[in-house]
Amino acid sequence: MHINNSTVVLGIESSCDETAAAIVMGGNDVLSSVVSSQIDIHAKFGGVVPEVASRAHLELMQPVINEAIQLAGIGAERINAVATTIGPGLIGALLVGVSAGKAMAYGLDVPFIGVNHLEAHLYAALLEEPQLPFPAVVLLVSGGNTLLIHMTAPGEYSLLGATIDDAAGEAFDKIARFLDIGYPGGPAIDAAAQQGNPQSIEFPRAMLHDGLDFSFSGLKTSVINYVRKNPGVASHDVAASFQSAVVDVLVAKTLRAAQQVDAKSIVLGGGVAANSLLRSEMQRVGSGAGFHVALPSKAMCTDNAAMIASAGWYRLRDYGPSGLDVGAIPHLSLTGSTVRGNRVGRK
Amino acid sequence: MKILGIDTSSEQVSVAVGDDESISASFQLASDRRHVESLIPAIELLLRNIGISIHELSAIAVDLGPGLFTGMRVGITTALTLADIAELPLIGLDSLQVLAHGVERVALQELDDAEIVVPILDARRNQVYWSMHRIDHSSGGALEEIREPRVGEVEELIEDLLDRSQRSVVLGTGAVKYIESLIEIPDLALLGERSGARNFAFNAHLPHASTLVSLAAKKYAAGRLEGSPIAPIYLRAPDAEIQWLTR
Repeated sequence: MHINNSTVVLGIESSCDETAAAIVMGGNDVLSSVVSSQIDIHAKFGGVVPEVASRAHLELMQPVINEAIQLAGIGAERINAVATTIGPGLIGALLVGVSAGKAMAYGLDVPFIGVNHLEAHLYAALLEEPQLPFPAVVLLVSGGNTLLIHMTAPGEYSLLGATIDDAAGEAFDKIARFLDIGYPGGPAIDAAAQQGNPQSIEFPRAMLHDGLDFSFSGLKTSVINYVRKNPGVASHDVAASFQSAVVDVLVAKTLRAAQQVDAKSIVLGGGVAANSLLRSEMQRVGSGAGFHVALPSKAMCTDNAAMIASAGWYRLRDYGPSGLDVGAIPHLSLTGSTVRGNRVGRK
Repeated sequence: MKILGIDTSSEQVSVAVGDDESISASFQLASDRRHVESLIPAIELLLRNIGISIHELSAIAVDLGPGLFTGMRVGITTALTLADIAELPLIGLDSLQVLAHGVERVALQELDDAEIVVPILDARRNQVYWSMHRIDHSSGGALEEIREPRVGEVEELIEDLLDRSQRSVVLGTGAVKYIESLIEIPDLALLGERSGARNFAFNAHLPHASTLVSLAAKKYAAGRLEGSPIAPIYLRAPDAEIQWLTR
């Protein structure tokens, strides 16, 4: 099969609490991108409940796929390949997307491409900025991951650093729940912080001067202890000070990584990349140090299927299709091994 | 008429193609939860070997559960997607009905001197999924559902059976698991016990796609395709939902 600029890929994503489908042509021409969020469904539980998410994916998957095809203004027969997230993510949630993706590929008699969700996040910036200068350092921050990646070209990357405990997004969620300021935690902290003073409380910047790995567990404990000792403290001051501590570390380490590998660009990705302070600080500090800073739109930072279709296009071109016998891999890591948790293997 | 049947509501992957007269091809994998890996390759293998494409099928039948949630979702999502692409009607049937009608395929004589068939699937946590079917001897032993699929403690089922005191055949993973308690009920026998049959052509204690195809083909032939939507039959709310409601 010849892969070129007119190759149309259907992307399918269901790794967590977004049911998404998109049609992308030639790797980065997004013809449609539909994301159905389950935020409302999980709000009352204060977090994503796997069985609830899996049930919702089953109900939403087909309508979302059909909407993506319709919005793209094409017929299903125009689809040349189907790309689907196979991991990492919640097993029950992934299974719905993989089942739908494989059935689509088989039914349409086109190749199926299993896509690593983390790898797809690396392509999100390229979708909006195809001429992104390489090499780049990507900070991938979400509810499940905090990774610093050295990307020399599409599909070529190695890991520079990762969290040794909680992911940054996980810390946002836990602190938002603790402060009882809303769900999901990221946007709730972001909004509360706008009203607060980031200098009001001095929280620790863990491992700030120490390598390229991250740790957020100590910060979380420190915030909780502070609020317990000072029950009268304003939530928005806590939120602003906490957010400032997280962003300081993320920005400092990304900058150091970019300098170490002599990168041309700094790229943000993942749900936490929608955080307004992280975006403005990364832009300010990164450009100040002479790097090109790529900030994908918020819709492209959070989970979506356009990035899955895009990653699928590159993977199909460079490595060919996956078999129809692939399964879902909940602990799939960026570098291929399937280590549990956030700590992925290094190249 | 050619109907593709997909049954992934239990640990096994079961696929069959056929009509109301016979089964042309079937695939059975008793492996532990390889639903998503095996299902499409199995469908591909069957259709390729009988030389038809999905577009030449008359309908797709799918087991809606109750059963293993993850497995059910793989089968239902696959069926929904294939039916949509090939513009085929979908026929959904519950797993207990499929299990009960399996008796007709493996040991019809078992029904001769019984009054009811009770399919029972293990639902874990000391619970079972079950339904109940009356054997209509006046119409050649046809099964008629008299209790809809439900989930509950084994004790509830035992009480119901004691109240009726009818000659019954029980089958399914739940029947096998709880046979020590069930066997105390007078006139009750596990499938195979009365006829002495031990080795069936397939695992008669799990729903099978061949039975699903036969049942669906009868519906298709009778033109009864509309009705209930194609949605999983969970019978049980997610744990988080239960905890939230009872908080």
